[in-house]
Amino acid sequence: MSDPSEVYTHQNIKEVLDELERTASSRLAAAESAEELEKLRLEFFGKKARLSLVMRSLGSVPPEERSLLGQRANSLRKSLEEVLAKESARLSKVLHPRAFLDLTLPGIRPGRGAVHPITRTIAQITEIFEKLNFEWVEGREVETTFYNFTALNIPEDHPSRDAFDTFFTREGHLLRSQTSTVQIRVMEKRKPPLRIIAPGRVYRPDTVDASHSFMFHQIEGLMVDEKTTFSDLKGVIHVFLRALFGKKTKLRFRPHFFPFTEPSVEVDVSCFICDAKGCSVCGQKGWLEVMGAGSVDPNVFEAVGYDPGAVQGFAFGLGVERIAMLKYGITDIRLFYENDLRFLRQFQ
Amino acid sequence: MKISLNWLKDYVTVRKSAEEIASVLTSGGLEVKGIEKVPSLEDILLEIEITSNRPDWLSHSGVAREVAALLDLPFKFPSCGEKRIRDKKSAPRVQVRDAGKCPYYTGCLLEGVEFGESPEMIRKRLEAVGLRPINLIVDVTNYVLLEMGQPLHAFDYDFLEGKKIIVRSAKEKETLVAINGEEIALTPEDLVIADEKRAVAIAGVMGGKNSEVNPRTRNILLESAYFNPSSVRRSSKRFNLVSESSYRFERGVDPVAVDTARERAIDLICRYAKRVGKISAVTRCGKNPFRKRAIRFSTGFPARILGVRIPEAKICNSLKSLGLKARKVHKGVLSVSIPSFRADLARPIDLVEEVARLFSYDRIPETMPEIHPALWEEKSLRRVEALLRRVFLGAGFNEAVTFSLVNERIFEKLGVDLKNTTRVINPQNKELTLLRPTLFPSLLEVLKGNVYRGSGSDLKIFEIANIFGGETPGNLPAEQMTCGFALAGMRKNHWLEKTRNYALFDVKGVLEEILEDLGIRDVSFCAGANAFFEEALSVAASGKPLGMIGKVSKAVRDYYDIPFDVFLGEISSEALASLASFDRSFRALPKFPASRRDISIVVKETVCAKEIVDLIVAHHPAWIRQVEVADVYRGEKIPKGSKSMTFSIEYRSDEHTLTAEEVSRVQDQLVELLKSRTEGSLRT
Repeated sequence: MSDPSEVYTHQNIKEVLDELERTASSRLAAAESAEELEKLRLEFFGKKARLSLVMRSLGSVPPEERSLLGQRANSLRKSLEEVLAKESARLSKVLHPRAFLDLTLPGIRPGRGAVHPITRTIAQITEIFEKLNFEWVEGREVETTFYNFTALNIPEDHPSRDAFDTFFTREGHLLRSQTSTVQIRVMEKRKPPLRIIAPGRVYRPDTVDASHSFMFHQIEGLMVDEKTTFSDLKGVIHVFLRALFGKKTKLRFRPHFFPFTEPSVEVDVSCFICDAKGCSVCGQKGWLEVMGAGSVDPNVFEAVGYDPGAVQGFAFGLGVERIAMLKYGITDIRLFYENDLRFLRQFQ
Repeated sequence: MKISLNWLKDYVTVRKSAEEIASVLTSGGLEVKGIEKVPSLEDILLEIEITSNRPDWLSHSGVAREVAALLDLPFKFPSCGEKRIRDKKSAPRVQVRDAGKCPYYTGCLLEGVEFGESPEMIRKRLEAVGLRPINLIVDVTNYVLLEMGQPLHAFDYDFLEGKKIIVRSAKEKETLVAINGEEIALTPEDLVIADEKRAVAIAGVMGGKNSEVNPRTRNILLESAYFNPSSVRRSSKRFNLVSESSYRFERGVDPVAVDTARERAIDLICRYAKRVGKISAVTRCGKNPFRKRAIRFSTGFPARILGVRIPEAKICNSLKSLGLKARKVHKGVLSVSIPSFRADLARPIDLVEEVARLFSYDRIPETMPEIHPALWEEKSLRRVEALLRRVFLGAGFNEAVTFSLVNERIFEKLGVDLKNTTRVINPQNKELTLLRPTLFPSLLEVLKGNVYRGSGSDLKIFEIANIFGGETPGNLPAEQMTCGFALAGMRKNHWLEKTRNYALFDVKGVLEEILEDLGIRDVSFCAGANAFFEEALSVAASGKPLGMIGKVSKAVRDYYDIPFDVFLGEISSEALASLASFDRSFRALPKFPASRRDISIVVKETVCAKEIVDLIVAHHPAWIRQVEVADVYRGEKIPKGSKSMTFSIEYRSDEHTLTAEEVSRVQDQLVELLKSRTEGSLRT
């Protein structure tokens, strides 16, 4: 570095400019840290820097040389400033952590809980029907024989009761064996048109095994007005099951018997596990039974005081556990009630 | 029911494969559950599920009739053979004393019968469907039952005392050893077949050992009758005895087949026995219950119900193929006569189903109903439940679903009064009898299971379900939708922060959040009592009890083998729903900034935070906007039996920005006030 009082000669200026033009910008570009760059900045632009001395010495240069050297010095200064700015920006982007931070450490989770797969399945199903303008309703769990049997056209001492093994209480009441009880409760109170969906717990004293439980969940649906037909039932079920199981789902409607519907039907969907080719889940049949339905039996309308000649409609019911087992590939119904956290957390 | 394909083909000539027949039956309403090939008998079996409304399908000829109808093939009814000479004089003596339970009884005596085993055809077919061939007489009654659906019974006539059949109610304390070897205690409710001295069969259910046909039997009384379905069902249920016979009688047999089946059996015995001496005339008691009846059927009715027009000709053809006779009364109206084997058809709607079945459900188009959308109001209970779920899930609680029936033992152990509770009298699991009056035992069981399985020590669960108790006006037990929650152990450790044990205030906090989210104000917590808790806090709002939270006692924890602290809570969703407010309103944001000051005061342990908070707020309500408990400290420099509490106070005026001096002045007054009112001292 030179003495500030020093003045360059004409020849000195030329040499300095030659050298700086050749080396300065590449030295700036080679700087590896902000500190290094700062050093270079002082070397080139500081008060004692050679370029500053050049500028100060220009006055003593003969006029014929002055303008040319002046231009050279100015443009060098300008270009170095640009390079400096660029390099400074480059270096500021390079991160220099003070200490090593292990970014592979896990994040701290607030920790949410998981909704039970039964609740989840009920929500999926009822949401579809709510979009079709069905109203969500609830019924009782302890019921009288009237709501569970008589009004549903299931007479006493009739073999049709065999399908509905029932828990009784000391007081002569019972735990509802199907959610169809809600149909009766709602129709007694309200006039058509009705479109309801009613999920809930039901009870049957079945021996508990991988596919039976003495308590399980059903969803009941009912639509009643003056003109809803069996083909409307098929249409609604079609829309529902495709929404639930996917657009490719095929449906099969089989005649069946339920005391509270006539005609009655059982609905199968094409097995989505094997693509209807036959697997252990569908028993090599390619079909999975998923719900029962039918046109509401006139006797049911009579029991609730409707005129069977003036109203018609359909009802359907399905087992929530069955649907959840199919959808999630659960093979043992008992898992739903054991509430093993390792099970529950899978449905987060 | 098992159907032998070889046997079926006696009545309908069908060339389709077993799989094709199965598919036709399934889509006709006889669900084929399985197809079983039996190479040893050169037969194929169809396992068919038969619905309780169709007893006529409980026979090979019945299923054959359906196959014929579904495939439009001719149906051949089994033949009753040639007419044989009957001996009028030897007709058996029969007396029916309860015509209500036995409207029609027939008997025929076959004398001098010599028989051995059945012909191969009968034996093979019985074996195919799972019955063991015994001897010709027994086999023929079984064969005809499976062929025509009519149960028959053969008595050894020589064992009938007084050579007489009496159909009567059983006597008090009368017993019968049934042919399955079981001794049955009869009741006067049961109808029995008796001789002059004793019961020889439970009518329609099972015969007695005392009159059973054996290889030396020579004289046979063949019974064919129509018993009242309910009466047979009640006896069958009472003795928990379901036979091929009772199964059919309780569903209702074809009354006409009472006579045809008997004749068919006589024909088979005559054909295959080594010798038959004399066949008596038939003794008939009562009248055959079959009554001719017809249903008026509008041919437009199916379209109204089904949503698809089926041509009249097609309707008539379907009905005819099912054995129903349709006669045109006038344009668009049929009179459909119902055969004896279709007692299930009583109304036009029943015929609609038959027409639809034969038309095929799959051919009925799919349409969307025409509806007028209606805005329905979501019940506030459901909104409360959704919110509870959201809060609990967000707070890390997992949802459980547990049985509504629980074991009573824990309540007994805790001395809880179960007076207002409901029990089931026929439990599936002998231990689970009580409709739970609280969710606590269920939640504790879930914790217990998860502790046992090693699911860690941070356990958080909740359940939303009914609890039961008390009586409603209609005498049914009250059902209350309730949310129960449990918190146990310690907060899960993570690498940035050390763990700590859960405290009662963790559940209290969740509850406070819920109440706030539901817009429920005027909440009060006060010390409560509950058999499960050593420390209990009951919650109420606007004077209405909402529920309770608490710390589970050591004794209860030990009962459930839970090695760490457990906190439980239970709140009534319905009470919450009645108080919840989902409306919100905006309040203008404050114009002037707030300043915050802390006060730490050392007080006796028995001085409660709320007392101090209330004092602070009341001191200058216009400026003091919020008071929070910032810290509770015990330890160094704090005398034993005392604690230091720090309160963080927010000062703000609506009039102007408070100066430091203004705040300090109030704060100084407050310190003096607190010292004197709480007998405390300022912590230095």
